[in-house]
Amino acid sequence: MTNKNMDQFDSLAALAKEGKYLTFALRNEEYGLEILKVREIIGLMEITAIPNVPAYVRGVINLRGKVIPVIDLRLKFNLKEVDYTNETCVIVLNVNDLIMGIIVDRVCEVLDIAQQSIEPSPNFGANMRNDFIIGMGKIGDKVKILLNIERILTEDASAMREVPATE
Amino acid sequence: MEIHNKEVRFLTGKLDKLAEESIIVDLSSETEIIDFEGKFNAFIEDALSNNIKDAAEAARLVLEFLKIAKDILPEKMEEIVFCGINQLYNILKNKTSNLQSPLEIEKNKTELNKILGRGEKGKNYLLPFQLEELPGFIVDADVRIAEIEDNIQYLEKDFNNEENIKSLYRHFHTLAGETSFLGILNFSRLTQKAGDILNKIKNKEIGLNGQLISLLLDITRVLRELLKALADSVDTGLGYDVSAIVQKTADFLVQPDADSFLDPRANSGSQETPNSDIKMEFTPRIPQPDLSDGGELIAEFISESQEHLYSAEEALMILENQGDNDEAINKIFRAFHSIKGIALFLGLEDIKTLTHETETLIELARKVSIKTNPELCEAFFLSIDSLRKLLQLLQEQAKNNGVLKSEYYNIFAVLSRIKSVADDLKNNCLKKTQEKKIGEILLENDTITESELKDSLEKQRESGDTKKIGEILVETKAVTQTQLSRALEEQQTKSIVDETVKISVRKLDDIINNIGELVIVSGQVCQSLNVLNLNSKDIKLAKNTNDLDKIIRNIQNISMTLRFIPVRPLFHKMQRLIRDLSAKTEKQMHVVITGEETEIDRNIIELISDPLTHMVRNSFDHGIEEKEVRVSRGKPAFGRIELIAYHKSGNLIIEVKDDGQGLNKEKILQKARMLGLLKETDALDDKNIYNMIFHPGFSTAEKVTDISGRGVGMDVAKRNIDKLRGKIEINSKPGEGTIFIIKLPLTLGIIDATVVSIGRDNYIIPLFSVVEFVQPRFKNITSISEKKEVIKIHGELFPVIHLDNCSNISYKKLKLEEQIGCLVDSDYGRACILIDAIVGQQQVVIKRLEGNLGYLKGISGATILSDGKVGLILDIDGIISLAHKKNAR
Repeated sequence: MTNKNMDQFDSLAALAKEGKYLTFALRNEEYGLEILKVREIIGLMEITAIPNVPAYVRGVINLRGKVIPVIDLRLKFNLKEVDYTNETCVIVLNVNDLIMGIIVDRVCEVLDIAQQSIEPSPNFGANMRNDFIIGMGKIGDKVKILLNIERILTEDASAMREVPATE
Repeated sequence: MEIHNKEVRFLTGKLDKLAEESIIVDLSSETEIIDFEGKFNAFIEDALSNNIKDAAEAARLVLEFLKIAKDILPEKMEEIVFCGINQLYNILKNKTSNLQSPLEIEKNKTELNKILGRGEKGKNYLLPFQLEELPGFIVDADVRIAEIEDNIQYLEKDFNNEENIKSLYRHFHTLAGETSFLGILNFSRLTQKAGDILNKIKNKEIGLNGQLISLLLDITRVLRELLKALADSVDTGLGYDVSAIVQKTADFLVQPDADSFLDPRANSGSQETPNSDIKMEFTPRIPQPDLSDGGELIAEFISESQEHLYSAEEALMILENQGDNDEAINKIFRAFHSIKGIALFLGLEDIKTLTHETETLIELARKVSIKTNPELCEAFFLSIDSLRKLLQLLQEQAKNNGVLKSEYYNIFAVLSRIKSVADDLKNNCLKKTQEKKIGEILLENDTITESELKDSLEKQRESGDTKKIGEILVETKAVTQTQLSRALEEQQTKSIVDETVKISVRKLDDIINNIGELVIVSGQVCQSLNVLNLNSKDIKLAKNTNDLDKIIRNIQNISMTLRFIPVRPLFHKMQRLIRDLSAKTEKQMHVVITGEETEIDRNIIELISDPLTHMVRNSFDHGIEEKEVRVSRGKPAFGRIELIAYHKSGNLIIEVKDDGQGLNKEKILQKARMLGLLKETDALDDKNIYNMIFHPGFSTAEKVTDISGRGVGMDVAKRNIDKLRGKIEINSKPGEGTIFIIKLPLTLGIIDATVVSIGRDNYIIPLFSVVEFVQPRFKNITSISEKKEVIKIHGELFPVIHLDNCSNISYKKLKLEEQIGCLVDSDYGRACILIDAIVGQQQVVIKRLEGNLGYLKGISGATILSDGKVGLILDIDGIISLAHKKNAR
């Protein structure tokens, strides 16, 4: 990981930029992802479990010949595990040339969010992490949580490497 | 050129008439057009007779376009005529005001091209009959350009050789004529200009010098490229932009004495005659490669040069082993010459200088036997190695955006070495020239005697013409002979080139990946059809799906071999290594190569090179005895190392065989005990004794030489081969020799594997890890502690590994007796892994895990199973080490 990437994180951590966001839902909350990071959205397919990884790493899928890992975002965010439904989707992301999938309850829409409707993430207090969030997008009377997906997925990188080693 | 106004006025009058004609002429009538063309031709004649050449040329151009327009775009003819006549008026007007405009005609041409809708770059297209003639022309032109190159080379040595100049002029002139007939206008433009220059040289209007030679070489290079482009695709060939070089040539024609028009870097070296002073000044010049195109040119240059060097090396070894061979010398010459040409173009000064000097040496080498001249041979090898080094540095530079971090390589030592060898040789040659005059055949057969040599020397003295010895050298070089053989060979290589294409590895991998996918998907489709019972209802459908399946599998098989290349380069590298070692030591060696055409995945070739090097060194240093020892043992004085490659049951086998002393079992055992690898009581069979030499730090050599003896090589070799999932075996007979047998998979991407089911998922166990499958019985299993068990198989005890214990895979079957034990071999010893069931055995394509999953312990990769699901490949070594760690706690 180079300095350049770290800088990118920092600037993103500061505040989300205006632009198009793909929104999806976990439980009743809606989240937003920069659309440029999204490679495609696919329905849930059979997942092969991988041993010795954190539970939120569900396993790997065959995306037209590529073997890509999928992460259950519910588990990642410490939300309650639910059965997958017809609406459950895998959003395939391309982040820093890493291809990964995230499992979400359902995909909502693509939104144009203007800079003036983006607010910095609230400070939850000293013990609360908010570095996954790069802003809150206000659309009408609703609020979309804009995610720093790089941070979320790269954290997994180190997590996955560490877990088997400490086992 | 003095232009008299009178003549211009006369011609303007003629043009007026022509312009009138052009208005009257009915361009839809065939006869009228022919009539008009005749009048146009008359105008050209008039212009020529009045010595207004550019007007004549412009008019010819207009006529040419008119003809093209007639054939392809009749409705544009009027416009062409109108525009063309206007252009002619302009030219004549400029003449009266004494304005010189060499670019005028080019500009006119672009304009005319625009009318025909050919775009700015003179995009062109050919008429059907021209297209038909094209392939023949390309072959002819190739030979012609080769001859042109030859001529230029000889001219470089002797600026006054009129034969060469005439021959060059003829070639350019013919090429110009042919191309203008075929409508390859860019080619024709350039060759015309080159012909003009040669004409001037021929008429002694300008003197030949180094700059002119480099210009001619430049032209030839561009012509070659253009020809290649034409061969690739007519469109790119016609669109090939030659304006830069044409401009350069045109500049030369206008002011032949100016020095500044050429890149000063490009011509400094080529003016040197081969007789230049040996004690030359030399300062290394770190290249400043032009990377503005993303380093593409440089990258191509590097890869091409490496190929050239490789073929030169190959030819050199033929020369060294088999004696004189014109073909081989030509090959070496061509290799260096090609590198020089491009290096010159790219401004790579050092490479150019080195290749140039080497070329000089090759020229001299033609006259002596390389086989009997080890110094000469050494010099060539030295040059090849130095060039490789320079290329390597260049590559590094290209990778780092032109910054060179490593120390630059000074070729001065190499250069002076080559020069001194060349000098020695030159002195030698002076003596030998006469021999050739008496009878070349005698010399070639080595039947010439000392007295004959003396005679010849006397004769030379009699003739007394010592001044012209340089010329004699050139003349006796059997120019026509080499030209002929070169031309013939050019044709041969041409046919080989036509059959291969260069393809980027990335594209190839893409194709192979996609074909893998195709196989899986088609398998699924067929299966669905079976499930729906459609196949049994519709026989035609069943047949079609069957055929489809067969074809797709065929494609897959072909695709797998796309990446395969012969082991030839690898073997030649070894041959070179042995040669170098021989030169360094007193040991003399015959190298025998068998099966060099056997093919294997190119990735493996790259990875096997190191281990093979170690093995060959080992055979050389430890296997083959000293000469005296050999003779005293009744063996031939020359040692013999054989390299053999062949395919056997889906694997590539490489054997390294020597006829040396063989491995000394006693010594190995002794050493192994000393190192504590063995107990006194351990009894080993031969194979295991031999395998001891693969232990790190194991060496029975009494002293460490610079070739081997540290006990590192074989360890590295073994580990590298293991990494490739290969096996290595040693056979040895005391006093007779040793054979290393390396068994390698044909490709890295595919493995033979057993698919097993554990819990919900199917897993892959590589077949090379599996020893056997057993049905566990309680009576065979002994518990040491909870979940720590050993199983007795064929009287031996092995640890039992529960995957649910050392990783979070859970079993479907809970009773041990229902499960199956898989005895596996690993770096950590054998163990018995429990699985639920065996699914089957198949070849699987290894896939990289995307995302961040590269480092999973216990999993070495993944594959797509026939149902489209991902199957994980178990990393047996990793699992067993995990289990051991768990148990240790």
